[in-house]
Amino acid sequence: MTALEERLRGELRAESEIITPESIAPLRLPGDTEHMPGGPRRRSSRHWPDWAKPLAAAAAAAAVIAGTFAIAHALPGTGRQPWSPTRPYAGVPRYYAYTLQGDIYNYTRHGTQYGAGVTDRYLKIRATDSGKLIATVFPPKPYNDFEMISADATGTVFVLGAMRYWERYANTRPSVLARNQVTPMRFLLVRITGGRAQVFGLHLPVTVTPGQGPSMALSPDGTRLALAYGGRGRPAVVDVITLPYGRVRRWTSPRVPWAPLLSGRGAWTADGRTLVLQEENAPPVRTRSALDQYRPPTDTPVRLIDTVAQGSSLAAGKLLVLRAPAGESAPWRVVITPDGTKLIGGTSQAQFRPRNGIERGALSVYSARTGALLQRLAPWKWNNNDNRPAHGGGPKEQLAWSNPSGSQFIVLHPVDDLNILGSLTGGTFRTAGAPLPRQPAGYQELQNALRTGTQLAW
Amino acid sequence: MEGDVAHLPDFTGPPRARPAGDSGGRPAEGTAGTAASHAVTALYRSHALGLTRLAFLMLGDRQAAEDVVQEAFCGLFRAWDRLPDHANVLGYLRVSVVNGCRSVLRRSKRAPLALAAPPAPSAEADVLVGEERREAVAALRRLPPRQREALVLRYFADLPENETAKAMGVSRGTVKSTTARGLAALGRMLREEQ
Repeated sequence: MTALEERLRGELRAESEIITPESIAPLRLPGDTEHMPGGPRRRSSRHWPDWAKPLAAAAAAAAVIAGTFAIAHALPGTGRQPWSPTRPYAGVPRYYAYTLQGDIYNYTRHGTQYGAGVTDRYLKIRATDSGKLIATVFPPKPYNDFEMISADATGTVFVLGAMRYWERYANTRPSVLARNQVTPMRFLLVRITGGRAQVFGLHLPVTVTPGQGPSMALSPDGTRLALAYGGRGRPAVVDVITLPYGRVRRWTSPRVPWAPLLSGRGAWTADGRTLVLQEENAPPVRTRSALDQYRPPTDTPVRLIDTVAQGSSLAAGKLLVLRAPAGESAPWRVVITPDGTKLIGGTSQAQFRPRNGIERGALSVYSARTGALLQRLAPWKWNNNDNRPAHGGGPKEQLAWSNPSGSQFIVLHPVDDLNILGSLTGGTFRTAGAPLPRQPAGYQELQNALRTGTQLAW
Repeated sequence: MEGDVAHLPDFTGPPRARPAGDSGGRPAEGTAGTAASHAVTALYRSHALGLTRLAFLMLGDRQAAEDVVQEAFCGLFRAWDRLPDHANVLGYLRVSVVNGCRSVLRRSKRAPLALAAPPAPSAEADVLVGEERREAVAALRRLPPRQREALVLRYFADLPENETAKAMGVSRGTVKSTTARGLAALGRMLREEQ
């Protein structure tokens, strides 16, 4: 045997070991339903506390918002696909993806209309500069809801997490719907090359279910996927999976009362080294009486995990406690700026159950070194009594993109009782202008989609 | 339904007569169907890993590889009663997997790629994955499908030429020439990369 043959044999063996014995799924023979995924299931609830609704009314119905916080520049030496956008969108990823609401079924019986929908039924990918539609992606049957999405820094690689959320009939039995929680999620990978999207099945060596409250964050270079799940009385787990090889590095905690939360790629610094994990400590509120007695937390602990350092304990990460500005609730959906200097989260008035009257909030910026509050950006006000057409729902502030230093953003922002997509520079919110294109083709649809759908990856 | 490996010897014998009226393309319900189910499940336990790895090397897509192998075993289950020789079910499965991979590649009209491999890895990614970089495998994935098949069957599955020929559905001479051309192309690509 020649040296080349020996080398080929060795490398094939090594490569094949990506498929581990534990990863082999049980055999499903025709007619055998024992191993098939369960029946119709209902979407998992993140149990957002009432105080959080001003910031994400639509997100209250969804398990995870992948409001992704992109980085402006490719990593040094990346050699990525050449793209030299002219201003005003220089530095913004080339493509963005967002989910749209869709129907599961809709019918009329005896004069009564029945229907059910999911907030993230399918996904569209568009070009940042032109708004051109690149792809419309549906989850593979029987999955029908993109629960999580995340993108790399260039906007050319997207990872999508799909769950099964199927209601066949009105008044579906709760026991049937509860099975949504335990169906393993399915992951897809979308890669855009030459303006064309290719969709791949992504079989992760880790199984997660919606009931585990998962959230995910794709690293800026698109090679590693961080998955956080568990907590709420169980161990909290963060897995970082090297995608080409399926290698998993795991950080865990003992049983904890909080839930781990990753805010899309806003959880990563641009160098792909630090991962920000939010400890979501707001307890679930399931009953009206619990809601009446509920008081939102006033601080949010976050852990800065050094993914290069040794160790497998979440406790080894640097702990920062982000305290809410006076009178406001704790920051949530905390993201880190690509340069790793600032942490940003939405805060709002702590007024209990602000369902009526005026609500107020802002983006609060904290030091990633000390956790101290540095500044507040883009304060907003929302009148819940606004009855004008199309002015329903609640305020929703969502960071879509940030430049490296966190001085320029694309953000969905409450303005005049509407959630508007625009740019935020120097504390000034504008509906057009850098870094957004002058003619925002497709942005109107994105804006409308974000009012109902919950997932955005930019 | 999972079988027990201990049942395997009971079901490797000649197939039982199919009851009348069974035309559904799968073994009859009852004893014979259960027997097939147990036997196929036992075979799956023994060979799924190796066949999935084989398919993965040909496709570069883990999910697709698993689907191909699942489908191959389902096909075996459906054909169980019609198989002339149960002693060579592994050969049957191997052919099914190779054909399944061809179908996947034909449908997708794409070359097999490592999942989620970035368009061009970053410097950091280079460091991270450098230890695991397998240049020969990467070059293998750029070969034409038939050459790749031949090399994977010969050097991963360690099949002799005649078995490789059966799995590929070609003659032994074709296997020899295809393997030689594949190795030559592989060598060229590796030299060029250096």
